[in-house]
Amino acid sequence: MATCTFNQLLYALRVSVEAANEALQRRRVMQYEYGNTGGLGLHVDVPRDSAADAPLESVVIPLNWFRDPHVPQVTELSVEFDCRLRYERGSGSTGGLVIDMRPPRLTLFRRRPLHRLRIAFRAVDAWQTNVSIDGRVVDIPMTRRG
Amino acid sequence: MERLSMLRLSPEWESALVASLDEPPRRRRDRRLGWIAILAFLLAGLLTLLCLLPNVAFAAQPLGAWRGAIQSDDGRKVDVLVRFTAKGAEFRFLGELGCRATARFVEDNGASLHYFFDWIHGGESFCDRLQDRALWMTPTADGGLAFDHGMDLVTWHGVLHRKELKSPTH
Repeated sequence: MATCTFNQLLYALRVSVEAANEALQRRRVMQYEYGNTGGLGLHVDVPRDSAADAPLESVVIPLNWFRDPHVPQVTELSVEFDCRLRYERGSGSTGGLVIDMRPPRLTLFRRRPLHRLRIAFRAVDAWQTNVSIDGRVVDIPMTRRG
Repeated sequence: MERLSMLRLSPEWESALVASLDEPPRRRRDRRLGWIAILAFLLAGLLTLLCLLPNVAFAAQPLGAWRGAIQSDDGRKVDVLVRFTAKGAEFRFLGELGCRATARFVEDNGASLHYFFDWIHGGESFCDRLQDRALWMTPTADGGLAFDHGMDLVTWHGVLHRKELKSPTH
C-alpha cells in the first residue's frame, strides 16, 4: 500500500499524457521521414491505350501518397475511482484530509460515504487539470494548479 | 508493484474538495465530541436511574424507621418501633411485651411483604414464640404498613407509619 500526495499524482498523470502525445507525434514524424528518404514506391504496369495488345508502361507511385496526412494526437486522459475522504489521525502536517482508496472496512456504527473522484486532462484545455467529485467540478487551487 | 492506497491533500486541495461536497467529512475530534456527548447522556441516564433506585427499592421494601401500635384479638395493645434495613427489619415491642426481634426479608408477592423472624431477644412468651415465624406486612392506601401476624390462636394486627423525625432507639 503506497501513499503519495494528490499533487504528485496529478503531476505524474499530466507528465504521462503529455509524454504519450509527444511520443505519438514523434513516431509519426519518424515514419514520414523514413518514407520520404527511402524512396519506396508502388510499381504498376499501365497499358498505353485500350487495345488488347497495347504495350505496357511502368509507373511508380510513391508510398507516402497513401499515408494519412493527419498527425494523430492524444485528446484526453481521465482517471476515475471510488474513494473516501477522512481526516488522518495526528496533528499538523500528518492530521490533514486524505483520500482513502482502500476497500471499505466493515464498521459497526458509522460508514464514511463513498465518493466518485474523476481526474481529467484534455488537449483542448492545454492539459490543465480538471477534477470533479461526485459529478461536481472542483475549483482548482490557484497556487497549485496541476 | 505497490498499489496506491492513499493520497494526502495539501491545504489548498483540502479546502477545494471540501467546498465541493454536500457533507464534508468530520474531523476526528468532532466525532470524539459526538461520542463524548452520547456517553455523557448515557451517564446522566445512569445517574438518574441510580437516584431513582432507592425509591424503586422502597416500593418493594420499606426503609427507615417506622412506628405504630398492634393489637391482639384478646384486647392487648402494644407500641412497636421498626427499623427497616436492606436485608430485613428490626422490631422493638414496647410495653408489656418488652422484647426485640429481627426478621429477614423473604419476598414481595406484589401485594404483601413477607418477613421471617430469625432472632429474638428478651421479653416473655410472646417473643419466644416469634422465632421462625412468618410475618406479612401489607402497604395501606395512606402510605402505612398493615402488620398482620397470627400466632397460635391469637392474631396481632395494626398499622405502622413512617417515623419522620426520630429514628427508633434500640
